[in-house]
Amino acid sequence: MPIEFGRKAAIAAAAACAAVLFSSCSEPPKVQRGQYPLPEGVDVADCEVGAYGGIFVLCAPQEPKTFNPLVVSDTYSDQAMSLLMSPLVGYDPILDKTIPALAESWERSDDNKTYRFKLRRGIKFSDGVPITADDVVFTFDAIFAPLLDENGKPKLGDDGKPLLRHPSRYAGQYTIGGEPIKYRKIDDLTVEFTTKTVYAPFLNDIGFIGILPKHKLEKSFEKGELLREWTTQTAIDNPSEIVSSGAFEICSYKAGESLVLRPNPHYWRADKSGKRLPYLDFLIYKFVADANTATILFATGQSDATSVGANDVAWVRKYADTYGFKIIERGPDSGISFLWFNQNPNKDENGKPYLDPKKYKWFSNKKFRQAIMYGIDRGGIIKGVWFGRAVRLDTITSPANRKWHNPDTRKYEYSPEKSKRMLLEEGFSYGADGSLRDPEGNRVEFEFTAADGSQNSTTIATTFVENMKAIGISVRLKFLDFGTMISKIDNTFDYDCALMGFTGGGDPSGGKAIYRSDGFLHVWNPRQKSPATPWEKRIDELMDAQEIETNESARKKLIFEMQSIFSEQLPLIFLVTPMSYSGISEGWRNIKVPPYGSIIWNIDEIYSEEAKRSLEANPPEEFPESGGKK
Amino acid sequence: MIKFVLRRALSLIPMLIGVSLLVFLLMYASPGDFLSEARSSKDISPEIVKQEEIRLGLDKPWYVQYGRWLNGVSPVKTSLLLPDEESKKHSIIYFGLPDFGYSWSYKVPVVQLIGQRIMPTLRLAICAMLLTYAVAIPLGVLAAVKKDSAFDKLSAFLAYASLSVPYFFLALLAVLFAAITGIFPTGGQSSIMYDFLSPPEKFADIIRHLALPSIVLSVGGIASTMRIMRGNFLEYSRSEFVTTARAKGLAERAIMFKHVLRNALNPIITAFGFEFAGLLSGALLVENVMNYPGLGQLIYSAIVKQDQYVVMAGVVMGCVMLVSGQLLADVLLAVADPRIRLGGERAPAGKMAAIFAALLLAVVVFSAVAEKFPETFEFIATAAKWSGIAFGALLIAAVAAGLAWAAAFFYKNFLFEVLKSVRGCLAFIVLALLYLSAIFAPFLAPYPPTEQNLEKSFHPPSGLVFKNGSVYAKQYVLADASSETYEAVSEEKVEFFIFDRNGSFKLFGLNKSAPPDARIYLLGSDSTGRDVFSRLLYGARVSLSIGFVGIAITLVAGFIIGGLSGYFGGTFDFACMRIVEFLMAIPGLYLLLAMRSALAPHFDSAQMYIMIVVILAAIGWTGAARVIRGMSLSLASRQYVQAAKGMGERPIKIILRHFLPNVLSYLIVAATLSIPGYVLSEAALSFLGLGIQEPSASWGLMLSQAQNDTKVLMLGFWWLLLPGAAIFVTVLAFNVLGDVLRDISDPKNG
Repeated sequence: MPIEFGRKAAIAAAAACAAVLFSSCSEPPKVQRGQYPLPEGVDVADCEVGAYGGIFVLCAPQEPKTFNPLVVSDTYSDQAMSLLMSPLVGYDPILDKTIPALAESWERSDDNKTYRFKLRRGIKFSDGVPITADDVVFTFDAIFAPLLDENGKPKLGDDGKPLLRHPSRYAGQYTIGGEPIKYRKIDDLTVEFTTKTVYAPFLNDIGFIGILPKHKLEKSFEKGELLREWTTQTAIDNPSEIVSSGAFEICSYKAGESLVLRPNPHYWRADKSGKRLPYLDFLIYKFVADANTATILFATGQSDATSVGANDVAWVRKYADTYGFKIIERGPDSGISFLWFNQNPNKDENGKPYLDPKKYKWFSNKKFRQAIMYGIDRGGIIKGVWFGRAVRLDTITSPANRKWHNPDTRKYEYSPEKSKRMLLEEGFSYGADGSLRDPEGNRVEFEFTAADGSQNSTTIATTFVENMKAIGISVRLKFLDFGTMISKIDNTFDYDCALMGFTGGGDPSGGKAIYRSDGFLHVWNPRQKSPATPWEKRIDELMDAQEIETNESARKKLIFEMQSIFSEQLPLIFLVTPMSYSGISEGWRNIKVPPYGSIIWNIDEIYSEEAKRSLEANPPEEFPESGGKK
Repeated sequence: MIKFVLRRALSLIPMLIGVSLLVFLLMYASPGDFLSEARSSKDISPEIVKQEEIRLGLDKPWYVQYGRWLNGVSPVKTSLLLPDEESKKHSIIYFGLPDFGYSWSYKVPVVQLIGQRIMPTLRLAICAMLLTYAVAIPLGVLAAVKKDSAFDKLSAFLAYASLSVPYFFLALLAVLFAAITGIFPTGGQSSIMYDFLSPPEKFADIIRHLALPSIVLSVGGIASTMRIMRGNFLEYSRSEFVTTARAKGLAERAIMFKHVLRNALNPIITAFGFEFAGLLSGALLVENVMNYPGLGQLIYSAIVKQDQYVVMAGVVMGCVMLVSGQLLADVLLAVADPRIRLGGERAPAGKMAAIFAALLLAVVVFSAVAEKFPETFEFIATAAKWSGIAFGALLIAAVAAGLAWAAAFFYKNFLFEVLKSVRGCLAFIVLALLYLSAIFAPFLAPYPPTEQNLEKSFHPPSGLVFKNGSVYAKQYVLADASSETYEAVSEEKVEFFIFDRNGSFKLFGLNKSAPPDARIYLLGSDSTGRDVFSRLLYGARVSLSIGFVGIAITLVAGFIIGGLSGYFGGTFDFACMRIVEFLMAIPGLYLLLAMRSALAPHFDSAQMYIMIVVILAAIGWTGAARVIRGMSLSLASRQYVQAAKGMGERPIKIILRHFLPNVLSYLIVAATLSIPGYVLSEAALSFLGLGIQEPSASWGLMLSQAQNDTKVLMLGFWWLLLPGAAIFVTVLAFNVLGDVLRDISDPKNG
């Protein structure tokens, strides 16, 4: 009976397969701890003492594109890199101040232009090589290195300035007062930085870049191939090549799938009992297709922390008890969303104006923009789209940024009547069919451009169209892919009105490119040779003044004035900012929730309750020798 | 055999050059480039962007960029195209290994990057393939053996049903299923703890991750393969050699498995090659929705980010896979069936060279023109747009006339037969209802499709109450804003009319006496409080008509080109068929994506409809052209055609008078069977956000809301999934109708 036998065998095989398929996973390997003594200059964390162990899983909607900070990249790569590379100084979002990192201390000269950083004694990269002033100098050398031609001379760009060998965002960030910052080694543990002009946010900005290991990268730097180092392929083939100065090092990386990090055995922080941080055995980033999947995975207990959108919080909460997590309300999101009208007065090379002159007349009229603002039902958007989980945005800084947000700017309540009245006062009129006409009798109609993809931008765009219909303006929607839209607003300027958003938070000087009239993200009329309007001129002055103002409250006043001007002039029509939420699964301790930003900013201090319990239940027979502090 | 394989491989070269050039031009023509993202980020200065632009060669004209790529890929290189520093290192002509360049976003050689991703995709494709055959062949045989039994009918219905589910929708449901039940992973090709597993566990882990994507990917294939298998099996079991075998007293099992099955497998083996190539394209959508880290995901994001070299390499790979899939099919067939000899038509080298030279010349002339007049691209795009629109308008007129004629033909020859069968009758009624409701949307819909009510978003379908001979609609209030649920207010009901006496010419609506904020949502409301029922009706206009318009273009183009090349034969035929092969060689979805981003800026939302039809039809006409060419080849040798020729009739007249009536039956059946393809493609495009745009409505677009907004599924706003059901019903009805028609026009199969 060959067939009968076959059938039995098949059933048995299927059963065996099923048994294997759904069997539980085996234990991860043990992580060796305490094999290296703590450095002399160790940073003792002021946190609850925890226990080693635990795997922390995070889902990221995009994977890092590189592990090389000199490659121009995106926020997801930066996030991964921040765990692998420590900067000179860090930022504590709870205290809202700069804290020591690789640099133990610093001093500022009396003229506020020179900073001297003292490195921690005895700290090492993850391969055991000491971190010294040479590494700091190397890092900045790499940022500013000129591109050389075959004769070894610096190559010049079209504008006569030397080109960079590694064009990265940092070169721009560390160019202050038109000149690169100066840096030099004083001794093995001391570096000095000098800026051309006084620059108030210097300490904040110096923490942007992690320190690179000279001993690993010097060779390719000399050869001019530094940008090809530390790619995702390195992380796949040779993760130990990517030497870390941060809390973690790469254990393995799988393209499109996951990044597994394990503790850096030479990390420079320890807890009060002398245990080297981090407590976690593994930190795993799982890459998923989009933010929705990340949220679903968190809500079904498959990851440990996530930010939850205001849209999703209602259903995510339903799973909180089943999968053991909690949702923390964080207040308004730090980003801003807005629409704006093209106000570019220039002409293209054929002498054709970028923008129809009659439209320029409407859009450059402050009262017109204010009338539009009154005509947008932001309360309705908050209620209908966000179910109340959003706030109105009144100015260019989100209320989330408590330190810098000005609460007393001009407010605009929804009122189509007021909007119509203002338009009538400006000489506009209504036709018999209810359509708005400008003083010359042209129908007021324009095209509204948005990047396609996000559900929220779609609902905002369709609501805007309906709202404008109510005040007699006919708006055509146009969805473009992001690249096309950017080339329109940045290059060809052939659009009427567009929708966009910026991430926010942090020091307001980070938004220079938006605020200043010569900024390239001054979207309504970018890269002006000289300020086109008196209020734009005033904003430029304010931005210059705040940069050299080292007194914080005086600086705040300047920033507040800038925000008031934005709310009055409305070059950007501010929309709404949704509330933000964070989810974290139960069983993790040392979670400190800052006003905004990542909830696990202190990932090196986080430990698992379970690990602590099992440690207390069976204390180790003897303490690891090197664990204790001398 | 080796010679055959070699010749096929050689014929790949011009095809690859052509396809890569086309894709490159489309990418170049689409505005924005790889650095768009950097341009918009506030901490990257414009100087840096400028410098990157030079480094990547993006400041050079397109032919230099393309030339550099081609130079890198080709083993024979020239230093003329290299940047200055590098050109000094090489002589004018030199040899080197093919180099597909660097990925700009990953800074990794493209080959390495593809190496990272190719295994998961191959695994998925092979798994889906095995699953298809393992399930479809036995089921098909079983259905054939038990013909007309309950099992046969059930399996036929299930096959139609699974062919009619939009598979992105299926993928979406699968992800949801995985997320909620936790039986299967929600994505990835291995679990988080993979590295810590033992080898058998590792294997099991990978299989577990493959399970859902392969099922989703193979559902359509299973259904069609099963139907083909059943048909073949039946055909062969009626053939003479089976009768002979039976007469000789051979055991039934031996007849079935040794004689019938082996013969019936042949067409399946041929289909294998095409399926294999199609899987890569199909995997793109599934990989993206189901988050499976394969090539499809990589290439899709590369297209979006305009990471040129990755896209080019992906397209080249797609072509190679397609051609090698066909080759594989031929070779397998030769092995499986000793009667078949490899060889086939030999491409005349002279003609091939002439076409190739003409192509090259066109490119050179074009690049020269493009260099002199940089606006050429803009001009061509505008010209294409307006000619597209004019063409579209003409076509719509032609379609109207054609439809009327086809309908008359249908009425005369098919209608009664169709209505005689229960299936046909049902399908016909369903389709008639759908089209009538689309045509009378303004009369049926209570609200305009764009009217919002922000107070009532995600409103559930309103309940209706019958009292005193009138109908009342329940009113609802937001009961719990935090969980977004509505509750019916028990007291408050508003009179609802089913034919308006207020004179607004509407079938449904609330009476004038209703309070101003009262609403009736027959099928609930969406995220801005728009009526889903009204949007479904208006959306039907797009979703249902796109199939007709598209199929009309396809068939007209296919008929004219296929008919002419069958009639004339010779060089014209040869050139046409090479163009057809060329278009068929391009992975369809990539071409769609590239065309869409190249064309989109020149069309506004309202014109998007025409654009989609044009894109879909431009890809779709090739299949019809091939079949009609075959039919007209045989028609051309008929006596009455020869006679007409001899009497000096003009070719176009011969084609219309003598060919068309002969192929019309085929055309109608083909049309009915291909309309679902258009409905599904429109839905898929709109679902990806690349088709019809807000605030217009189409079923695919409405469905995309359910994907983009997770709460729709998680909070159970089921009414937003209704467009998926509508697509399903439409496609199912068309498939059934087409099948009935086929049975009628060709009674041998079935």
